[in-house]
Amino acid sequence: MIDTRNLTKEYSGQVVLNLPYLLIKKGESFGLVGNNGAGKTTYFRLILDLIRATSGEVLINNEIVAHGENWKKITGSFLDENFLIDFLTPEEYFEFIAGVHHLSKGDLENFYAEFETFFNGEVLGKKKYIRDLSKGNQQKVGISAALLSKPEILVLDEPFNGLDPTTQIRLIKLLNHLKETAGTTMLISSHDLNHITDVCDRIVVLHEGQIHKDIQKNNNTLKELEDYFAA
Amino acid sequence: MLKWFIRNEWREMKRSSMWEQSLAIKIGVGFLFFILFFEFAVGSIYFSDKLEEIFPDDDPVEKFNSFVLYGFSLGFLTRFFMQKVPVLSIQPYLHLPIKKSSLVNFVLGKSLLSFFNFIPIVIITPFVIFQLAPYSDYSSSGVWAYVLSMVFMVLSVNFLSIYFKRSLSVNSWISGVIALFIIVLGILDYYGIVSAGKFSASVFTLVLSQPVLLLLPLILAMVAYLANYRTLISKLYPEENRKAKKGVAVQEIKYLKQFGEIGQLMQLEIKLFLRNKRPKSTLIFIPIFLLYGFMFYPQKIYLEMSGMLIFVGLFMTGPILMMYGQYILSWESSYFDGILTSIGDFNRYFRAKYYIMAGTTVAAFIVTLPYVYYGTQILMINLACALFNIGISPFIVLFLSSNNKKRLDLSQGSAFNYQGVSGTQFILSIPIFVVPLLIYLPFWAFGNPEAGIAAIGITGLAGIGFNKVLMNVVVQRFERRKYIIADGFRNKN
Repeated sequence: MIDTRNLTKEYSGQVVLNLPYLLIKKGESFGLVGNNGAGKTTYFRLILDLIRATSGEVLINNEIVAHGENWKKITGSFLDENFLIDFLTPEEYFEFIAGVHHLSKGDLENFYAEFETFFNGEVLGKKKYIRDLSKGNQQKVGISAALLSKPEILVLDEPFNGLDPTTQIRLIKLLNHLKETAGTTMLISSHDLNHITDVCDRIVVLHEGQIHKDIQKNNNTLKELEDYFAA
Repeated sequence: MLKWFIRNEWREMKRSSMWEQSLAIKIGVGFLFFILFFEFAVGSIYFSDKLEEIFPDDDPVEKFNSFVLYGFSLGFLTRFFMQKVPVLSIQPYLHLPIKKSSLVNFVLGKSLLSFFNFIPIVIITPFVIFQLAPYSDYSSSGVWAYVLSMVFMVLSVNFLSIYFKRSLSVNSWISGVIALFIIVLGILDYYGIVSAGKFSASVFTLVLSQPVLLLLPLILAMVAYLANYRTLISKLYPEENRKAKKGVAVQEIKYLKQFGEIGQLMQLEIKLFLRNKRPKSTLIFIPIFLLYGFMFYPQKIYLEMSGMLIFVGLFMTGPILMMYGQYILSWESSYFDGILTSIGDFNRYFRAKYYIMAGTTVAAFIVTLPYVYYGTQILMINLACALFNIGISPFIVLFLSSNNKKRLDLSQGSAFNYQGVSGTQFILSIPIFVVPLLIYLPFWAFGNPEAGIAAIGITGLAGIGFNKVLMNVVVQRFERRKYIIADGFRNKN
């Protein structure tokens, strides 16, 4: 479903990402781990066509992301607060996203009902602009907005960062539920090895822009990852 | 989609930090814009109505048209420096299923709302009403063609300036060529070798008799729009629209190191100034401050008004004091908690700021020494003012800085930027200008202005002598208010 071919990205001559080949299948839950500067966010930005690749390309459903726009209709994403229109209230922002995806008022109502526990009463009806929310609540707005259109592909960059423990646990449940019921293809990066093994079935370790490990999850995966990063 | 864009745009404007200012600032800013428009409109109505009287030898329509090209060139240049296309504002839309083409059309369409597009309309409308509409010299289709071609010209200038501005940030040599071209043309025109005025008059008057010619500005506007469209659509990547960050050259002023902690704090302050957009853009005003004297000194009437000269002297010897002083503490609002937890002795902290203000005042005084050409009296006044700006004003500034509790966003430019402005900044300017005048006034009233000037200087010297006492007052007030200040700074909006 997401096909990466000979993808490289350089900044002032320095290669920060080099992925000769990586295929993420439909319905796969794909976890990306790696230390700071390993290239996780760069890879996600390339998938979402937010930066220009130095060479190679990413294809979603056989469409080169840099040349087409159809893939955007089936992709929900949240990387950082630059995705948010911060002078809107959360409700206005959701309404906007729903409008972009041609969703009805009823869809939006359903969405609010579904995410009520996730928001934990801290997002809706607060009469605050997004820019005035705490980092954690901005994160909630971004993640839920990415899910609003019930996308086939979900891309989240360190979604657990800045969330309180309750919400972290709720997010894990939510993602697992989506995986089972909707078969959503997920791409998630995290620094938390526990979280990533809780959610993802396939885990890739990036180091200095290259794939160092590509593991299908089993009982030993967490241990294996911990050993890798401890070394 | 358009509906959403417009709605979001409206909300952004309504919720921008400018509108969240106090009512007084809103009224002030609104008034400024109103006056600007009003002056253009009234000026243009007056001028259009009286064209025959001002230029009795010329045909009024041709005369007006001879200025049109100059007007558009001037517009082009002003926009070139002031108008920007905020491409980055579409960042939150990039990952959504919205066509890139509609994003680009939106960004370009938005540029039409610029203030600069309304000025030519305000200027041209009275001319059309007073000079073209009432007379039957020109057919109505000619007048309409004229109006439309003016509109298309405004559009062309709008899109051309955006286009050049964008491509010039890439190839700076082209900007040199264009600037040179305009200068050369101006010189040729001045010496009467080429006449842009005549050319302008004949071209725009021709539209009135040959309405078909309106196609030319139309085509120009379309070409300019398409050129913009093509460059923008290939450059919709946010990181390419940010200025490429070069490796930072870390500079240290070694000289300051020998002053220990105070020197280090001064160093920090200087780096803050040179590395952030907002303080850096205030530095542009320094030459304006220093050249202030040329506005007053060459005129005899002012030379006899020593009160006025004191004002000028205070202004010229304290540019940094005023620009930097009004936001002291606010400059550091984004890391103020760090300051509070890491600085042990606030006496030194404020002393570092004091030395910056005093030092730059000395430097400004030296720079303004040549004004002695206009009389030794000027030198005496500036000396007195400099002493005052060393001994008293910095302490007033530092004392009042404890009133600053609004967070300042350092990454934005300063012109027309009202973020972080509050009543404090206005209050600040009162004592540093009023106090010296109050000292001076009684002496002047008893017919001895020289003694008044001396008194200002002596007050400054006294301030220098008692600087420890004054500094303690400043620090004590700060210690009392630091929690309020820090709380204000934590508040992002």
